[in-house]
Amino acid sequence: MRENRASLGLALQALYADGCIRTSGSAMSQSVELEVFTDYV
Amino acid sequence: MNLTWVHFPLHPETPAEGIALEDLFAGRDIDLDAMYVQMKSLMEAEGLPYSRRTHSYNSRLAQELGKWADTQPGGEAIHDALYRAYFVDTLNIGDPEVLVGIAASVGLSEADARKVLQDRSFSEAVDADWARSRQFGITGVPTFVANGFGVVGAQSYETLEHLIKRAREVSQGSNSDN
Repeated sequence: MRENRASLGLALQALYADGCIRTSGSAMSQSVELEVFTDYV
Repeated sequence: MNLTWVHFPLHPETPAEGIALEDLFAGRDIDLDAMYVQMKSLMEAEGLPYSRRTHSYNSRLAQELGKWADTQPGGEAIHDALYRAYFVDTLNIGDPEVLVGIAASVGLSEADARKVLQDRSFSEAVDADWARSRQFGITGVPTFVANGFGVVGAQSYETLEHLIKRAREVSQGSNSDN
């Protein structure tokens, strides 16, 4: 699990591309917060 | 949908100079060669580069830098850059000067990045993330949490889409109840 992060970037990028995700600070009504707990190592 | 990176301490005990993978995984019956081959294969299947590392490094300062970068226009690019630095370029992302260079590579101010690392001005913010990780009982990364729903590990587009839809449904349901 710790090392199996290969799909993380691609799946998130796809969600960005589809407009599902904006980065923190975007003003959106009815928004849902997605928290990604992660580390760089 | 807003995305927030919450930093989790995977190996907070790692010394500043890093630790050899043989030492990190000592006593855990892990075949490093086999692990690398497996990960390389998984990464290639996703079209992602992945290099053979000899060491793991302390990510605390990288997390503080990432927290600061989230406050800067376009700063979210630093997350991919930090992953690349560690997993592809095999750099010591615990080294402040390495981190300053990474910040500059994504268009952030070198001077501001250096000051953040010297002043530890985002230390409390990362402490809060670690506390939130404990509060949620996080044990591995990545873990995705949205409105009380969570999934652990690398996940497909469809799984993340489902998570978001469920979170939104619950959110809209609670709003209409008010």
